[in-house]
Amino acid sequence: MNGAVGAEYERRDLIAVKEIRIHGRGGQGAVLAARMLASAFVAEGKYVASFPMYGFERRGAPVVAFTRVDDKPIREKTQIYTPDCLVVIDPGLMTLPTLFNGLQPDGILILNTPKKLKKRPHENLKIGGVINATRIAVEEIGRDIPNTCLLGAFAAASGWLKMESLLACLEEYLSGDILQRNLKSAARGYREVEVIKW
Amino acid sequence: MVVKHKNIFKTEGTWSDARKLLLKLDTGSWRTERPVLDREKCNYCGLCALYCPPQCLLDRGDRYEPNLDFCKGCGICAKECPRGAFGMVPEGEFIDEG
Amino acid sequence: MKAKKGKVSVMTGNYAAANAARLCRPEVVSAYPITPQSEVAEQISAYVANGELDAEIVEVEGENSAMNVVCAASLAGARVFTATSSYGLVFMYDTLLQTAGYRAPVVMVNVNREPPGIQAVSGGQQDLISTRDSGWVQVIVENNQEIIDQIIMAYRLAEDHDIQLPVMVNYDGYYLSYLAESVEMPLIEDVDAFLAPLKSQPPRPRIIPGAATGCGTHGMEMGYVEARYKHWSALERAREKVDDIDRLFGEYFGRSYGGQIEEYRTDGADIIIVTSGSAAGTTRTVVDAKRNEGVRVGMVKIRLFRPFPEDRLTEVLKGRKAIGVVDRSLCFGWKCGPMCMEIKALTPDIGRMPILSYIDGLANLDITVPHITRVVDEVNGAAQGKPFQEVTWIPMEE
Repeated sequence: MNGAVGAEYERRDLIAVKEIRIHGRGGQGAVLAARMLASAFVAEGKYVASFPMYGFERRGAPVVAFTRVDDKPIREKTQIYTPDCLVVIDPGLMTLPTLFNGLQPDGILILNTPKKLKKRPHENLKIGGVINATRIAVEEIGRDIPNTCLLGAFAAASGWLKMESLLACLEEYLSGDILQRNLKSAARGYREVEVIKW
Repeated sequence: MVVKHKNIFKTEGTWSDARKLLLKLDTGSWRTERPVLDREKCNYCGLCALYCPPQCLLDRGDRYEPNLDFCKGCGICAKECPRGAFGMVPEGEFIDEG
Repeated sequence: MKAKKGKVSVMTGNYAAANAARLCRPEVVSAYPITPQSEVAEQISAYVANGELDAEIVEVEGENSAMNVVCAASLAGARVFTATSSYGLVFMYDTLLQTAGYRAPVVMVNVNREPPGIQAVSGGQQDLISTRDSGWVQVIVENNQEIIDQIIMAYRLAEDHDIQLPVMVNYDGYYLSYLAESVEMPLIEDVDAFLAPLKSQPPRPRIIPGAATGCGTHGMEMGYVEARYKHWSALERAREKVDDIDRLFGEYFGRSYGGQIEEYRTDGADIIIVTSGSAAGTTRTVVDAKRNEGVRVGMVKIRLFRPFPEDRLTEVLKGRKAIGVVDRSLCFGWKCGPMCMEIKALTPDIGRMPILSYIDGLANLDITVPHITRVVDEVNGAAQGKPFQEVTWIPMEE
């Protein structure tokens, strides 16, 4: 993601109502998570635009996915510099110096971590949704693909999405046994997320 | 034009030092889990070093350990070790999130 | 007669392209995968495998052969489809020129990505620019809905008896190819109806097994000149045809895009920002904001790039106070960008005025709202007589 500098933040008033930035690594389902989110919001009658940006397209390489949501068609096809919500799929990325760039006031952080959040990671954060999505994913799906669990956590912590919309959308992308496992993972994410209000 | 960009390359074409970043990638940053050696189990057979795809296992004289600058966490060393001396541990365990 | 409402769903640009191609019922498809186009080739194969598309897939070892296959199949009378990007586009360069010279109505999707020179797996329009003179019709689209609609319109144009030219539909790699947004997918029977008028036209010549007829005979001296003259004339005719087809599409499907160019809030505009592709979407946002502040700015989105929409551009740019052109590529050998250079060629008809060139969005770098805001501010300054910089490489100044 090319560096966000001061000027990028100034035109926030022009851009879509909600901006979500998802940080992960290749193989963790960040891209799919962004698409599932998009489908869920569309199911609720919103307009969305969602796309990923990678350096190297391989497992383990950092991936950022940008999702915009609005009540009218989204025309700008740019990366997200002024996110309202950050979803961090890989706890290792919390040390990334640019992770919180542009985070808007009353920001939301959804974090996959096996540890507890000891302090508020950024002054603009109002809500945190913390969950060990890796553990839940391994228990429910059998693999460390925490994306659907984190989407459940997102729905609960942000309140921006109805859980029913999210669960219905999973069927667009998955089927059979894998779908059932991911539905359980997402539902557990919704129930078990620790919501912190700062 | 007021060029603020600081050049990455010293030459006209895209030449770079094969020992440094750009040609030498920081693949260690791609890891999601790392091999951790149980020294009691290691008998210095060297099979792990033989199989490591980026050849990043370092000979420590009495054991092998991964070079964390390059180790991508593929787990082949752990799988090939006849004594199961490597455990693959998620990187999250090594991060201090405060 | 109007088309029924299509199915609305969330889809990436690549899936939208493959889906749209499926609706047009190509009979022969040959496409070699390359990032950021791979999903197009994969999805078309999936459609054939699961019976949703009745086409012959010819697997080849590279793009040069892929274009050879679809060109030959097209000359045998088949409707064809292929897709590529950057390295693939230049790998098929000789067959690309051949296809146009043979007047084979091939429809190809080109997902814009930086071509060879600097190893890059990232978006940019340089691949399109390096094939400007191939003799193909080239169109550039702004979003996923337009990808679908333009592919359908491409068949209507390419196979038109009056045109008989291959058409390249371009969209931004990464920013559109992997962008998921909701689109309305037309029903296949409505696409059939839209393309049906082609059937009642006189048939174009084709290879028939056993028949003594062939294409591609040597063109020496006046044979060459005549064939080139006819090809050139067809490209000249294509402009108006693009406007006609866009209008017909709008009447039937309810969506139209302005034809050769789209004029956005150009009424009463003192300054115009000219751009293409996904950057046009971003520019709309800035134009609206600046208009709210009282700046009389409009946007022109170039859709048809080849043939170059000389007349429509002349009409909309004439008499303005300044123009800014945002290029997502370079024109090697000119100070300014390639689309800027082509617009400067209109000066005798549009009159002298500051024309500012901006190079941005190379190698997946973003053309952001602040970038376009800066462009509008500087072009506005130039319109008011302030000194300005003729050519700006936005990423180099950051």
